Amino acid sequence: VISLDRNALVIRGERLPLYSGTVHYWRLDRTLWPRILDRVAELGFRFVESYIPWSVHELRPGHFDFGQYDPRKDVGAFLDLVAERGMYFFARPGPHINAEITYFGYPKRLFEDPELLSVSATGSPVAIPVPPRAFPALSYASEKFYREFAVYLDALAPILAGRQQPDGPVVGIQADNEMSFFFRTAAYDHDYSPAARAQYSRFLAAKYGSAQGLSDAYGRRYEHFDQVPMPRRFAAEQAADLPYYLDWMEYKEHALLDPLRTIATMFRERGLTRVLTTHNYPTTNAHSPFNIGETEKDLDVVGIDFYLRRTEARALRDRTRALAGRSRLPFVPEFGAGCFLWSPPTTVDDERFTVPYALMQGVRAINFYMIVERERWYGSPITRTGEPREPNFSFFRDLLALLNRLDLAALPRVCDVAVCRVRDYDRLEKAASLFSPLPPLFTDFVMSAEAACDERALGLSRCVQIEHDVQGRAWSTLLDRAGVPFDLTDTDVAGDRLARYRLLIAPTFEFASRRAQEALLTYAFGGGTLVVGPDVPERDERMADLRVLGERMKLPTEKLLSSPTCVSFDHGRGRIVLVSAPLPAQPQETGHWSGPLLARLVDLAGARAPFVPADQAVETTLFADGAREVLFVANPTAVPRTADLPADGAARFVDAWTGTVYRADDRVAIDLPPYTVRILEVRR
Amino acid sequence: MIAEEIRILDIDPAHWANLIGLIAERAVAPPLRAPTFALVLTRDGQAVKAIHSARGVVRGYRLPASGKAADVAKDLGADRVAVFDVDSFSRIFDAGQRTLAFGADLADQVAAMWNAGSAAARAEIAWHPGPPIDGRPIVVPRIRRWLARVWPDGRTVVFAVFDEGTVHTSLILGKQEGRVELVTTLAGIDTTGLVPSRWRTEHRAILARVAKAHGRPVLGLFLSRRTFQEMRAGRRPLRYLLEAHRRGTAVIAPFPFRLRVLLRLATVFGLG
Repeated sequence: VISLDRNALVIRGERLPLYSGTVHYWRLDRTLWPRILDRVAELGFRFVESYIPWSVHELRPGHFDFGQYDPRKDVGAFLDLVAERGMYFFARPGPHINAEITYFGYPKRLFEDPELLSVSATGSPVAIPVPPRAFPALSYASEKFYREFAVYLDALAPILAGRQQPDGPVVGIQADNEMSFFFRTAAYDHDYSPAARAQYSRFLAAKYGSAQGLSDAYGRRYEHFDQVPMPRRFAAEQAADLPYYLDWMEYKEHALLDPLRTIATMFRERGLTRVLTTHNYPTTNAHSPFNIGETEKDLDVVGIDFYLRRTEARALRDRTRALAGRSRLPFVPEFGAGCFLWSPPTTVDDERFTVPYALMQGVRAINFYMIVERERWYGSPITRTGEPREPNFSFFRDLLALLNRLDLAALPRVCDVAVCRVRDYDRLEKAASLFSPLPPLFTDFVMSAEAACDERALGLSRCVQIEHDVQGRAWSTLLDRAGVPFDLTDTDVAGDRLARYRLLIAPTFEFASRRAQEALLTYAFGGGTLVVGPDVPERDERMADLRVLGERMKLPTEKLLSSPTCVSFDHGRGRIVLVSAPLPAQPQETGHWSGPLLARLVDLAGARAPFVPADQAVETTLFADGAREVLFVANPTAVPRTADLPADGAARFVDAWTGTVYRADDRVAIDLPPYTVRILEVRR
Repeated sequence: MIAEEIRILDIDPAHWANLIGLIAERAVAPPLRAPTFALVLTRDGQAVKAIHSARGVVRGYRLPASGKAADVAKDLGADRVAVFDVDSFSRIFDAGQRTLAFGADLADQVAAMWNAGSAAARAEIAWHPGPPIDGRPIVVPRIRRWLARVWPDGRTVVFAVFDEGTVHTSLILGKQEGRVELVTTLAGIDTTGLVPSRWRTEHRAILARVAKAHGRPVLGLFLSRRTFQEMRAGRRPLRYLLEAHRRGTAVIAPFPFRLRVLLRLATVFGLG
């Protein structure tokens, strides 16, 4: 009934880009629902979404109010009003909600059951100090937790299932919300509850099959998986110790993914089978334990939420690149429209910059959260009484009109390059952090791996947990300087998505799992140009000999550089390039071998870099399909700039917002006030 | 002091942003040179990580022989340093989290976590020249008793700052059962016909409309943005406020007798 086509949903043959807005029905006057939904439609939205909070609908265990007592809780009536307006609905029944609801939408009684609670590495409760009440984190490893949730879902599912397309407006359902162990993903923070202990043992059993296999990998004798202690700090001394910690981070990824898989299965078991299943990670760089590639094996679309202001442009860019390089449909399930009270304010001036800036970095679908204001939220384009709030309302109305007129979702983005993290290194980086239990979701904004990680090489030739991040950042810096658009990805992303790139730069070191090595080889075999180095992996993640990549890198076919050695090997329809020396952490602007090497690699791969600005602080992205071209030009800084661009054969550039025409000779100059994105239609 | 189901409604985005701006903006000029800070993590008495606010990560850093924070500061060229064991984070978190009383008032929860966590931090972290915050615990019951005396249940507190003929920021708080249960702004009341530039007289109309919408105000504070900034910049803000009230550049109305006495006493004892 529903499929994806060119970054849009196809519903009954109609292709609809996914631009959506959040409306919390239960927080609004029931009599105002029609008026409010009319306003949402007036903005141009065809999709709305809402949480359906467990705590709001539960009267007492097993008894629920879906409008029988309180008309504001009649979610079925709300959905019917959505359908009457020709709109579609994404349901988010939790169980995690947040939404600034006290206790995050879980019934309060859950927190009083020790069997449902998470436990920290030191045995304490895991406090989530969020206004208006701090509460202890729940354990998603607890089977009882899902039995409790099933009772709620049994009551809710018939309301949703009967209104799935084509019988109603429901087209999507989200499993949980911002799954991140309650924003606390540090390696040695939590969950160490008995349920998590059992889950860890099951994970090891599934991975190794026998205690003997595990004992061989860890170099210690274990009779049973339960004997393997859950690590509580990074205490590796040598390479042979690393499998234990790498497995731990793989388990942490599993512990994030398994609940989503379970909840999605619960949806399907209750007849919710004709909908897209989605999930939203919190604002993250998608590094371990987040694993979008793996999660999209079980869910249709996994996105990342953004609550960033224009002054956080760099973080927005990096995180958007991380989403664009990993997800099937780069979707922001929560893009801040307005703000919650205990966050620094986000204004419409922020949104004027951040929305088009995210789009130019590869976001293809957005849900604006909240499009209608409610208690504990301010600054939305529609007030809780259904009045338009200006200038926010006009901004969103004009934005949607523009995106639909341009059909931006259908236009391919010119981005032929990706910088790829080998997931094993990512796991090691997180395992080797010295700052656990400080949450990486916050420390990642201010700390690189170099700042956060143990500096010891642990018997390897390099300090991989730091150097892989340094190399990734150095290649990113080089690409930015050269004006080459790129995404950020990792080796767990599906091969068909990696195959979109003509050039994949994957810093490698002396170990990498078979899976990672084979993913890279497959990419090159399919026709891509793969850049590896400074080392070629000779061991797997269990530190056993494994030369999958190295076996294909014996007879170089071309020497790209003599010093350092940089050679190319043919592989299938593509090639593998080994750059045998690490890039400096901050590559010099001129006179260093890395600049010419990158130019050579871009040329070799046939990667495109259109409209490269003279000013490196200005950014451009081209969307083009042969018939149409739309160029985004951004100034992500606090000072005015002029984009001096080569015209690349274009005669003029027309600002799609204002109609201003920029005529071009060989070059074109475009004025850019601070924090501005211009969307230009290219005319030849 | 915060209701479990606090109502936060009709927040004017500009008022809220401006309120945070007023609170966050520097009352005094920043120093010409920002002080530098270094963080050194140790394990078994050896440095395993050193980060300097200006120099970045100092790879392979070794502690000076004394291991004292003062010598580390000198060694790294930092104005302030903190030296602590890598497991300190876990122990500080543990101390704070163990105090969690589920269902208790947020003020009590946060105070308990803060008091236990900061006590653990004082034990774990060696500072030079000294810790940036004093070790006095937050005593919520004392604050609660004080609040109960000056702010009865069912009454509101109104705060508004005006700037060039507009309302720069506003805040209305409501209280029930000893807890703040309403946070809103002037966007939550009918402001038809009000003229912000005449706030010295219009404040009466504002108070009347707040009373109608949310409950009778027990305290109202109205002042210009300039007066607010001058008040913050001075060393005796309470004394300045009372003086501004006397001169008419700020309006405190209603101004409960009990609060008036408390503020006077505070200024006499040099507390503001």
